[in-house]
Amino acid sequence: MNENNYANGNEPGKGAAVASLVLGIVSIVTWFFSMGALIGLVTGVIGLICASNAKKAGFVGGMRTAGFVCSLIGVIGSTLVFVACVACVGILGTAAALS
Amino acid sequence: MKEILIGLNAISAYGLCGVAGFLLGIGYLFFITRVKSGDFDDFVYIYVWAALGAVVGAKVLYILIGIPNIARTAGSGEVALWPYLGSMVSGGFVFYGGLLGAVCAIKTASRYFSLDYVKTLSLMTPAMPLAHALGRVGCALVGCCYGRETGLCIGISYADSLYAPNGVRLFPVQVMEAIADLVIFGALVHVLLKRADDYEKAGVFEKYLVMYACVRFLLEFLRGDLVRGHLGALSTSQWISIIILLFVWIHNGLKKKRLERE
Repeated sequence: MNENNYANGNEPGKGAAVASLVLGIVSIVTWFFSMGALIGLVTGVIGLICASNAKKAGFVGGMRTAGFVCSLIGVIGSTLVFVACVACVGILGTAAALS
Repeated sequence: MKEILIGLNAISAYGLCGVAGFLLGIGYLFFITRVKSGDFDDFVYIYVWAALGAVVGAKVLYILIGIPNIARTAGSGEVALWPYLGSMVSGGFVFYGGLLGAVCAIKTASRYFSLDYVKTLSLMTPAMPLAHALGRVGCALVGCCYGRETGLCIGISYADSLYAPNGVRLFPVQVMEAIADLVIFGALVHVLLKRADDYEKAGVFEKYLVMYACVRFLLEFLRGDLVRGHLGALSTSQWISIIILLFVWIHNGLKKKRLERE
């Protein structure tokens, strides 16, 4: 039985689950925009918060899981890309200053 | 496309090892929740928040320890401040800051999801040394947290490390810590599997703190990276190890008295 069936369609946590999925996808897309990965990091973390809220509200289902996984992948990838970009800028800047 | 490829090439092996450690931790949780009748879904959520707490805590402590260097750099004018701050943001973590961040996150998340904090922390504890071991492999690959100079054949010599001195054979202290972490992981899993479900009595997290503090205190003598904080003859991490051992000793004493009263 699907625990999310409600007569009026207002399932607790569904909005948060949808938000989590959207934010997770956004955080993955920002990987391809170098310093935009910082935005991906922020949206990914907010996506994780939304997925957690959906879980606490009792929403069960694939959308919440998909939102959590996408947000997690977005946070991990954004962190790696952001750190790589900041490291490059830092190194180049330091090299330029020392030369 | 070129920018994407350049970006991928710039991704640090250190970061990839950290991610691998994180994923291994999830694999461990999958196993232990099957054995110990836990909800894998619950634990994954808390684990992810613990990992984020660990990253934030480790970075904050790294920056706090680096404040004297930041002040000196800003004052000297030899190196541009913003690129230097950028390099601090992008690289460097202090484990004990990460541990504190992770524990705070586990406590907060357990309360949020209405889970038993002691059981959650106990089952999650072995994932910490497991992930940390992979992190130390990452350190060995990029040359951070390097060891003292050595003439031993097991020394690591870097050619183009941004952190370690290049062309010099260094003691593989990162690899030794990774091996020690794996041994600690095995010991903690053994305790969890052997003990019944009295998690408070098993004291898994306390055992981890003691084992790691001893390992870290000893390995710090073999570290060669002088940028770490020092207070007197001991490094910051050694002082933290001593404080942790004292804390566990006091905590276990109080816990023993409380359990005897009950």
